[in-house]
Amino acid sequence: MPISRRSPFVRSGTGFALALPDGSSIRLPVRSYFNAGTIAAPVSATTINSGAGVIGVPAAMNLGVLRVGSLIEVRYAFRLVGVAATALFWDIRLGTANAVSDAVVGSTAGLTGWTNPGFFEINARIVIASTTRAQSTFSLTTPGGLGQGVPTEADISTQVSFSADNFLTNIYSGTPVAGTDVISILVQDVRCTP
Amino acid sequence: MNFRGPAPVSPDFQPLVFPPTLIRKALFGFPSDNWPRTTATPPAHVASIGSVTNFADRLMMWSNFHTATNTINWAVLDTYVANARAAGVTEGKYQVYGTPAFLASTGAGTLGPYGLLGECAYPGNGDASLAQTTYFCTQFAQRNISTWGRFFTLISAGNEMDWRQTTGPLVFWWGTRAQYVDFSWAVRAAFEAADPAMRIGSAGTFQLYATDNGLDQIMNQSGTVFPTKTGKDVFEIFCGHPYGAGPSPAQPNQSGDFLSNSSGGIREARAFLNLYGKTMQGYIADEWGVSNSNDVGTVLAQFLAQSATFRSNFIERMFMMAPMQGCQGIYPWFHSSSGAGSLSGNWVTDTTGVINGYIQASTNLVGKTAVSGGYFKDGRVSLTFSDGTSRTV
Repeated sequence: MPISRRSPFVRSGTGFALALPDGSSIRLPVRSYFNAGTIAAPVSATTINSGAGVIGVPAAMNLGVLRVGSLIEVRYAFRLVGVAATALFWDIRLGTANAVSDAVVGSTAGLTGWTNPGFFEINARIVIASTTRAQSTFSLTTPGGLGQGVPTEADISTQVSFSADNFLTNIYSGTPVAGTDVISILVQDVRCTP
Repeated sequence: MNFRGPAPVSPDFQPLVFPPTLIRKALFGFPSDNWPRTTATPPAHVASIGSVTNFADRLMMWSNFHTATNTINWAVLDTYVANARAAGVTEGKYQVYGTPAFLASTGAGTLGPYGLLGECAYPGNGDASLAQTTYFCTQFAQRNISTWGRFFTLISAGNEMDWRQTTGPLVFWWGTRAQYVDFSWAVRAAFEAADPAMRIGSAGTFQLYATDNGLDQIMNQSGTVFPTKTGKDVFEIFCGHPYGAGPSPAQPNQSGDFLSNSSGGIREARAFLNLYGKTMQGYIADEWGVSNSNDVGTVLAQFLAQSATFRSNFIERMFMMAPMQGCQGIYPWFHSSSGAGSLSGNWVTDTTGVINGYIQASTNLVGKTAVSGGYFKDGRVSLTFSDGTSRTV
């Protein structure tokens, strides 16, 4: 009997099905063993000192020149030490200026009642659908499952350039205490397929 | 002749005089959060909610939909209405708030309280006649009729107006008094032209008389775009934020009860409107909390430290008093997906407290016609219905 080169492990539903020679299969639970090793230091930590209630986290990534069809995949994890129970928002923004006026391509709803310090993870996929529109999926998770949401289509007509560099920017907005609140960027994984 | 009104039935009971009142499910308001924009994290008492307001959800605000001239994407609102209806919510209040940045006359690059650019600006940038405000409201009203089955029944323009003419995340209006009159009249005129049945509320008001935030600041103020209109003309329903109000005079809270609350209780609001020659057409508490945001550590903490039965009764009595006082909607502020941080209690974990009170009130009141009632000296509230039943809590 020829040896099948097809993997006997077939991803299926909640686990993995192991295909048997007689054509039947058994289901195996999913288990993964992963040694993360030593956890690296945060990518960056910033003490909020504007006190203006709005913070652009200094993690802007230069994506270079974009084109229609460009795909941007984003994963960020943050630790925020701030004033608990103060409403805050995370935005992912895209534009040429690394500024709060960049196009919003992903937004959370208002996050309240989070426990201090707060941990937040953002995942986003953004497709430049046309010269004026970006389509995105966006999610935010926290240990409390505080919020998710997004514009699925954003207007980029005045913010994104197709001949000059563009930046991906994070925005934290709330009512931070100047000189006290601290944002640490634990993970910054941005991939762009230009 | 006897001018004293009905005699009390006992020294401990104060009957109230009110016309027979059908209690609609819309009395039971609640702010949106992720739900109903998504089906994630609906409130525990979702089946008891009759009316939802968009205001707590920044992704439901005007600028999210109206992104360029004559360009509106209704997809998120379509889902919002569908999810709310599927959960049994009968109607909605929409707050026209969150000026699109491209229309912002000031602060187009400044984030507002909900982290939106130009959020609280006068929407007159490049649009002196407010044509785009009119466009959005007209399109909204038409879609409300054609697609949403008239889900939205109440509209208001702006929130907790601020007359200091400054921008930033702590200020809910960045324009002048006259600009607010123009903006809110444009909203009212557009909605009423497209849908005469739509009710128009005031901006959520937490101060009647105050230089910085009082509703008094615009009542006689004329518009510039609409010079024949004043602040008296821009609304018919009073939308108040009586933070700190307790259920009744027998159980007042931080700042009185729903009638006397100085932030805009029903009696105070009625007197205020009369002062300006205006008759109250309706009263909605489109935000309410046990305390205001400045006294969370004292007033709210005391409320949370009480027994669950106390909190349940407090909430249920509040809704029971509403039909006797002429209040047509109460929206506890707000959900908070994790439960903490809400000014009206914990709407996630307090299942035997505030959540139970809300559910009990909705279950026992909706669809009934209240014909008599009042409150006891010890804080209990009693209602008798047209079917002969009664409830005392």
